[in-house]
Amino acid sequence: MDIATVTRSVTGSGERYLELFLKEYTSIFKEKVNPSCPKCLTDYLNRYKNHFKAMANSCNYRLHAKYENIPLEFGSPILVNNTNITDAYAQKLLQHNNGQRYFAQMPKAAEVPVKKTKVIKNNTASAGSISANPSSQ
Amino acid sequence: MPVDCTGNLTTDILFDCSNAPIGGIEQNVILIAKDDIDVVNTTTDATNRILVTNLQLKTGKTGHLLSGVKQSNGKAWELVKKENAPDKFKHTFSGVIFNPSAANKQQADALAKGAKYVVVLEQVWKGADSKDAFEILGLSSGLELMTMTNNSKENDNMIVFELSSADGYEETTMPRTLLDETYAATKTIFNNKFLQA
Repeated sequence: MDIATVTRSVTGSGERYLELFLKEYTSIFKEKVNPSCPKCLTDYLNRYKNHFKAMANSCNYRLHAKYENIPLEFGSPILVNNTNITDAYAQKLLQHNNGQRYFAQMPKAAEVPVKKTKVIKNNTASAGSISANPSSQ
Repeated sequence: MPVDCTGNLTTDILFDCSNAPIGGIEQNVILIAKDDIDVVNTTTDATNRILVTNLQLKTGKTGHLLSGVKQSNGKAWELVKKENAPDKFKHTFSGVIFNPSAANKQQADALAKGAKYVVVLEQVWKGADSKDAFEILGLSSGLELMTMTNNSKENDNMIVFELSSADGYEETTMPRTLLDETYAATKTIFNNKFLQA
């Protein structure tokens, strides 16, 4: 549905689409709206659509709101947001300097099996023995 | 590392002729209520107190766009000499509200309620790798609305206003530079109005 339809159409019972849309929008985003601002209305509709597209995206990576539409890499025309993000895009963003800061949500890293180290207790430790406590080194 | 409070110069001040000075700022600026800034998570570079590496707002808060045309908006700062204390800096932002609509006047009216504001803007001069493009005015003490005028016979009936450091409550440094690692990342945050969801 485009912005012209939203602003001009009415339902069969005479309710304006715009009114219904803004009620729905404010219930989701909890912010004041300005119905008299055409540019704002377009932004609201885009945000509303993106919200549902983002909900359909099953990627486990989510960007912080302030980093949405970040260029994939230097000079790239691809702007990554929570709607179009994929694991491949996320991996590229993670290669940026301190790239982890972009993400509000990341999948837990696959757990690396930790090798258990055997600690040999030596009750008769002499002054020349090596301590097993790394903090003492 | 302890902060050097001696005020001694630590390096040369050079002219980079490949990044010669250019006047002006880009059209759009972001106004942020000072109360909305998350001071705990806003970070400054460890070796350069003028460089902010993360400007973070509190959860659910956002900055607000003031859209301009050409050089309708502007910034300035000046040293304030103190007799028996470290010198301070007065930051000034001059802005224009083009449409005196009810919605815009409501926001202008809000500015006059006495809250302090921080202004983030993008300079036309951006420095090497565009790393010096963004500046923050009023980060420490905030800026207050100092003047707001409208005259139907002047300036095409636009609302002209000025946010500035209040006398006696100036900033401890000149406007800080904002760089979140790269220009692209900083520009993205700026475009998103520093929204913290």
